[in-house]
Amino acid sequence: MKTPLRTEPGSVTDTVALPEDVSLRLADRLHVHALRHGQATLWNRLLLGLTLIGPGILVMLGDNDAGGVVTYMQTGARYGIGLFVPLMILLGFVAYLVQEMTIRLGAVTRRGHAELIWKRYGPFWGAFSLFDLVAANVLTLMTEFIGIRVASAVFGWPYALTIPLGALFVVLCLVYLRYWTWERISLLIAAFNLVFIPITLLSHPDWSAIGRSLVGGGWILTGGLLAPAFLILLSANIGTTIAPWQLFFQQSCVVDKGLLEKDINAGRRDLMIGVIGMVLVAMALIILSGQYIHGQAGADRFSIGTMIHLLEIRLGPWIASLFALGLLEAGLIASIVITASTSWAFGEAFDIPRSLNARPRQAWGFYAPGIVSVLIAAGVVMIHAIPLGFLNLTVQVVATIFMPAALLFLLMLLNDRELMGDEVNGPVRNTLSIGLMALLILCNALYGLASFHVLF
Amino acid sequence: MKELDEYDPQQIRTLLEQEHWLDPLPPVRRVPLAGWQRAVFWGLRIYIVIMIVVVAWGFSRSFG
Repeated sequence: MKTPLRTEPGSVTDTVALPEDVSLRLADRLHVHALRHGQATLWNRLLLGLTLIGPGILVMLGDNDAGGVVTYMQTGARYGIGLFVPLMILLGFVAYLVQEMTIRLGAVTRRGHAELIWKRYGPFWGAFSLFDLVAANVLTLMTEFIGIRVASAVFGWPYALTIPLGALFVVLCLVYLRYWTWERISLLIAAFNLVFIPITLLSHPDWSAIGRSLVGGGWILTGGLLAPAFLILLSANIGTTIAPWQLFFQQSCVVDKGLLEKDINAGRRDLMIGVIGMVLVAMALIILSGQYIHGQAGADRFSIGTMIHLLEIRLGPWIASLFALGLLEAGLIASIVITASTSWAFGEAFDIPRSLNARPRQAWGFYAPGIVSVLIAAGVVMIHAIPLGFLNLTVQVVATIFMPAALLFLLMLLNDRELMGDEVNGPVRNTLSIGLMALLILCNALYGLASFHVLF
Repeated sequence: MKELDEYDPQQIRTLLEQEHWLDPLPPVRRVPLAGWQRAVFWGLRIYIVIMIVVVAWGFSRSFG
């Protein structure tokens, strides 16, 4: 469908036909333009800020997915209120460092991540990065449906019903909502992710222990720094903070939203809000689990279902129900954004219409990969005997394994002056990013060596 | 939020021109990876395969 645009009412002599996805994006941009150049009132500034938020908050709160919630709870259960609490602040900076690059890349080039890799380095390397992304996305989606399944059990809802319903909701959001509506609905769902903060505040947290943990108190690592359990949880926590889908998602989101170079600072503010939300939620979960689960016999092997049951005993059924709702939301919002990232990446790689503004019949090739990934993930989690805890931690670690290659492509693109112009990376950002890649590889290699008992 | 046809056509045209929405994006020139870059990426592929095997094996022992 084309939207005719006339310079004068009734005139057809100077008509521009716009594809529907472009005309919808243009309407979004006109809204931003009107707010930016309208009266400088507080209300207009607030509306402009609210209009420009989206990709950063979605990527970071989507990052606190069901798998992440489980990982943070397992971390607190094993190590209590200690090293991992301040580590989350550090990981927040790491997430900002990585994700900020995708804002600049998307806003300057106006192209998605997969498209740039595919076109700049050729289909061979493009296919490699796409394979990594899709494999990691399908696995991560499984952890989201695990979250939905566990939360359903708390309320006594049959997962044979809730998982298909969750999958249907995700698919309907992807296929039938235009970008603006999709983003606003996703933001509303994502906001519920913050429920873990009041849950922890209501649980009367031990503030002195939290304060001490920020200055080195309680940093007791049973088994030492090279214990496989510590290295697994360290990798899993890094993997749940930065993952390949986040790079692809935020850049595609920036492009589909129509953000430009002049919006980079707004994109950074949006990301910073998301990072703060992500860090606070992660810390809240570790503190909650560290206070009420840590120290109990066999706590390091408790399933998330057992942990919710313990919260119910210690803090009451309302807290346990709120927690389960938070877990359900975490699975749902992450499923929505990860599914979109799969569709965007396929659309960009194969150069087909790739906007959430596109109608399903015009862009079935764009929507299909996302739908298929949801069906596969939901189908696997429907299997009755699947080891949920095992699968969840494995997926978080696998995300860190794929990350160095994804980061290297990102760094190469961000240092490409032909693409980025003056927005290329500076030496500090490059050094930090290379350091992060090395740390990820080292962390995984140490875990591998520890697993083989080479160090013990 | 207003639909596109609720805006003044001149306003739309101005924004189209200012933000270059109708201009084709500059082509992305293909750049072959340098030898060292290919070596690093192949190294990372080998690393991915080894680590996935290790993680699967490690978890099956630790948590299985």
